[in-house]
Amino acid sequence: MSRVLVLGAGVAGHTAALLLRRKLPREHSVTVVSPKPTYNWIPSNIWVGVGLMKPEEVTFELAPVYQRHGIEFRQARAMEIWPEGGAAEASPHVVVESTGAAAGERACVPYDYLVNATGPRLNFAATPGLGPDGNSLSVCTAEHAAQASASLGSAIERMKAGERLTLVIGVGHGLCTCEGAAFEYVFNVDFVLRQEGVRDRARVVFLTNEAELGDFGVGGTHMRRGGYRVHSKTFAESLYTERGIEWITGAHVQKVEPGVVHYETLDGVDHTLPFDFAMLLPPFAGQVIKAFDKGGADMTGEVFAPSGFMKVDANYAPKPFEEWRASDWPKTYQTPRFRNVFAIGIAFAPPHPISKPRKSPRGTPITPSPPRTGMPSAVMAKTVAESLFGMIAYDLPGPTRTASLAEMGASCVASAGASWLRGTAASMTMFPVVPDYERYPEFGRDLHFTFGEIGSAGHWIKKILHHMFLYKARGRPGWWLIPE
Amino acid sequence: MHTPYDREYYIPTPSPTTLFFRTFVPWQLVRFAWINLKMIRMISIGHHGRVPLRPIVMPEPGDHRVQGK
Repeated sequence: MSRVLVLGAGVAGHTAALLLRRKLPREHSVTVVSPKPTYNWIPSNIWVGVGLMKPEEVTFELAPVYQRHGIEFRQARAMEIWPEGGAAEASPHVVVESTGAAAGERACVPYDYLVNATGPRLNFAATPGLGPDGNSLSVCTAEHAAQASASLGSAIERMKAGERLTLVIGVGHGLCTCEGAAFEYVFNVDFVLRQEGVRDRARVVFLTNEAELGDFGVGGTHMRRGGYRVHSKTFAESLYTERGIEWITGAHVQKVEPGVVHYETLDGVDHTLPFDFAMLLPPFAGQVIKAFDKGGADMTGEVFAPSGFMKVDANYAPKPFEEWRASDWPKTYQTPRFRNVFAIGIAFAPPHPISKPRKSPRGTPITPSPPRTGMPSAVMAKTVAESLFGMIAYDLPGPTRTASLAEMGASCVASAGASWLRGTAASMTMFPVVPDYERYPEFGRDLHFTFGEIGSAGHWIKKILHHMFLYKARGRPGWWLIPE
Repeated sequence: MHTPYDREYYIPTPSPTTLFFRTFVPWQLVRFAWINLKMIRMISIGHHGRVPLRPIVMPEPGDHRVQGK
């Protein structure tokens, strides 16, 4: 009998837990540890943030789903990993701290196989004044999005009363990721302002750490369009221009004061931007989890990167951008030291960014961090679940499945306004996610599988995906037939 | 509205016809089918693979003929 422990119940952890439970014989146990009692379909938080959905429409209770599927659920936060066991528990285990009824109570959860899918720590503290506890808003959680929606509603009322307001939307640090979410939010805000008839009273500014619009943390992508092979920068700039949204690129937010954001741009110049409404996404860091060896010595630096993300089978040797290779990216997500420990989704440490790293003359790094959310997260979860199935049920010596970001494609549907007839969304696919300039020397990607277009069809797809993926996450009949 | 020679002046913007077709339902139904096909094709070629030199035939779920741990 083997015990599989999954840390985290986001897209990656929840998918891995459901798939493992479905595949593994019942004598093996699957346990999920997550600090929150609910699952959140994060891509739809954008619609909560503009008041088109309620938080209840993008979340659901995890416990009944896990009970139905025979998965043990502990509402707790992982604090320490003891991969060799320790004095308190001889077998490998994780020390967790309850966030449920017995809040603060610590316990050891032993495992034979560990899947770390703890997702990001929203690092608002990296920028003074950033975040809902400071002077800006966020849509990273359903609660944050509801707060942003209420604030946007107030701003709309003020504009209806005749005021002219400045709305700043984007990212709140030079090393943020998830620029796609900020892109979706600014377009949805623009759409709602038009519906409310106040767009002419709003100055909407997109503030991003991307060196060029359309980078999205993956260096952008080329697409075939109108007989040309065009970079996504052209399409993104066109979409912003069409809507009258201003943009500021290559920006590192230094601090957010009440009504004023201070930022430095790639040319090293400091700027200030007054605002009446600001939604700025935070940078991500790994969860604060310590690792110890059998004797109790701290081995956190060996298991985790300085960012807090877990080291896996990637090439972490520091090297300049010109020497980056697709092969640097992990394939199996197994940790190099412990064959029974895997890290997936945002929890694994990427070997380096995907976009070209840039610094201001003062040395401030202003580079999008690599995105690894959504579809790639779920694909990693499926891959690791299948590998673990082989290792547990068939005693195979190692993982048998791979899912390198440099070998997989990704689809993305970015909402630009939610309405069945008047709404639109940008539908995009790219292959591979990480450009491979050895295989595709010209643009790093296969342009047969890399495309993008905007229209109502994209919105329909986005809406269908919302219902389809929530159905899948709820583990309803036939859930496994829905692809990642 | 942008003014001549500002940044936005040089950026391509959609024509009224393009804008019309973005929300023209019959055309978007065609695009809906086409985008879905493109996405399914992309997913089918590049989801995940197996570790090279380890040609293992993975069993189907529920097939527990081989002893577990």
